[in-house]
Amino acid sequence: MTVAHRRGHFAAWVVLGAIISFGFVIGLLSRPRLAVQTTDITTPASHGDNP
Amino acid sequence: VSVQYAAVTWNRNKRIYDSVIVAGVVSYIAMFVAITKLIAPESHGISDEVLLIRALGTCAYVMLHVVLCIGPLARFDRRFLPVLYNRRHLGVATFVVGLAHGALSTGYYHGFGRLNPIVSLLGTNTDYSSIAAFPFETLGLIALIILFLMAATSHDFWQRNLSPNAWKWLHMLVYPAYALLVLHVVLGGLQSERSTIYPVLVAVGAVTVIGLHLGAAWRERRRDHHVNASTTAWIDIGRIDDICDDRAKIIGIDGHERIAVFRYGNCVSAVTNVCAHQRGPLGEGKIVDGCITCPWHGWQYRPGDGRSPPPFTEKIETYQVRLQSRRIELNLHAKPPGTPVEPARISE
Repeated sequence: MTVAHRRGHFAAWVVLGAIISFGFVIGLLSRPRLAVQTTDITTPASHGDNP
Repeated sequence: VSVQYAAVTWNRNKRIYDSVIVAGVVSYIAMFVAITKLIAPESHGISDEVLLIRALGTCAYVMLHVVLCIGPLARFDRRFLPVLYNRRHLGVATFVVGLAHGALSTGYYHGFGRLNPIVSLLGTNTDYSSIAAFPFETLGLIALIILFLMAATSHDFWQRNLSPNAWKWLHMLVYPAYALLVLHVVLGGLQSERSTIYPVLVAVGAVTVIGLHLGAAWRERRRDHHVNASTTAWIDIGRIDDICDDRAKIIGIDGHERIAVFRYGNCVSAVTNVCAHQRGPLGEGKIVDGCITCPWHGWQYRPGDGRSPPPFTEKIETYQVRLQSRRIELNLHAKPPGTPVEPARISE
């Protein structure tokens, strides 16, 4: 490979490595989170007391 | 090497190589579909078309990793050179599988409306300011266009007509194409995946590709500091006994192209280290049938004049060498390509 191609390879992978790393982290952090619905399962205090 | 153009210059090795590629692609897709259906019960809600889209997409993605790793691996270990020899076929196959993925997904998701599928693909989601809802399809489409340009110009006809340097720069576009595809996967498929295994696999692939390329490039950069070109034209490059028969010593000079000094029989000759074909490292090749043979694609040059044997017409630069009590001296001034230079003779 020529000197220019070797330098081009190195520069290209330094820049692309940074872009890929940044995009990967940002992409993962921006993933939509699963919506979890909480349900109150405690027994009502008045359960069974109703005449 | 060939004197005339043919679509593919087939030989036994290329047939075996291509058979392995086809068998690998078919096996991967079959296993992907079968394993997904058997192991992941939640995938029963996914149609066969979507499963095939995913199988083709991941297959092309894996193939691109292999294509990109072959080059630096061959720099680290000569046993990968035979794979490098046929890398073009794997690159074209990667484009074909990627095209199948793109065509099937475009047809499936955008082919049943009133709009042209391509118009629908590019116009349905234009929220480029959002990361979570980024139109990742556009990234894949741009990468596919780059892969198409590379596949279409992969033949030696284009390499010769575009010039080896322009062709090499054009084919380095595969690097940004890879970056686009990583982002295509991260902003697309990974957005809806809950499992951690998929991000880990993508990260491992990216770290491997980037690490191998940076490692190989760093290793190459260090080689270039062996000799500092001084005002004098002749430099001492070491003992003749340090070079094996039919092999070369590569001389790296700051800011200059490398020089390959070959020892063959009782002769020593020096030529540029850069092959006229794809700029392969001639000094990592060897003398075969009396000719310097490039380790990448087998192009050959006579060590005495840097010319390919007839009927071929390629020429490379030559350099003067002389021996002083078994030490080699090299003249750093390159002779024009194809200039005959008397080899230095080793006296026993």
